[in-house]
Amino acid sequence: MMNSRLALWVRSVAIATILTSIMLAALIVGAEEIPALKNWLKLTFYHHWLGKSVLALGLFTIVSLALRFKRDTPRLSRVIMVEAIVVILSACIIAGFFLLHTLKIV
Amino acid sequence: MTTTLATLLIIHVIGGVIAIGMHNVILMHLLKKAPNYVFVSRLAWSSAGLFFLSWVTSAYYYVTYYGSAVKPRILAGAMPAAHTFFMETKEHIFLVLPFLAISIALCTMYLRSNPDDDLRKSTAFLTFVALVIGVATAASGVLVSGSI
Repeated sequence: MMNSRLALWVRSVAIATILTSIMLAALIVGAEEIPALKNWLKLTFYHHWLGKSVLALGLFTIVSLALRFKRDTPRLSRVIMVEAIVVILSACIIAGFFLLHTLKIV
Repeated sequence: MTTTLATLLIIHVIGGVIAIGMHNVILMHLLKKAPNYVFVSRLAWSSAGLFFLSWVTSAYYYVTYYGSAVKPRILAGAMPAAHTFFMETKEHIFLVLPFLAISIALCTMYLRSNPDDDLRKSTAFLTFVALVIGVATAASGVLVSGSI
């Protein structure tokens, strides 16, 4: 019982990390390309980076808590592998965007 | 820079570097066939805690000092890419690390009572990803500091 509950936590936190990293990549690129979005983050959270931090923390917490109630048998190794791949892709999107930005291509 | 800011910056750097080092040790243990999961799990939770400490302390320094006192000097210096690429990438990619650290910690906690070879391998890969991001972030920090 205890182990199955922990398995649900492992899965829900992994999915929360997947969704948070996708949201961060979209928000980071979006805020650089859409000035109104960056201004909204600054006005709402004092600083755009704080806004991204708070939104990431909020999404991670909500998804982690919500998905732990989903009762089925999770295949943990597969979820964790997907998590690793999505995080790699998100990091590449962020680094790639700022590289192109520095080279003045975007 | 005030003493408070300097202290926070030191905590951010030392906390982050220790957390990255812990992920390295966790990875080395997860590559074994039968790791000591009690030790690995404790280390993983400590690493997650240190990443959050590093996040909070860097937030205060970054928001109140970096943008007004450091960034203009880097942009006016010989290597503006230290900010436009390295700092921008570092400050944003870092945001994923604390969540990755919690995920790794939960996996190792689960593995304590449910040794599963497939999960051990995928957790090792996830830890490797966190380690690479952590090392890249720390190296970018060194480059940013050195470009002033």
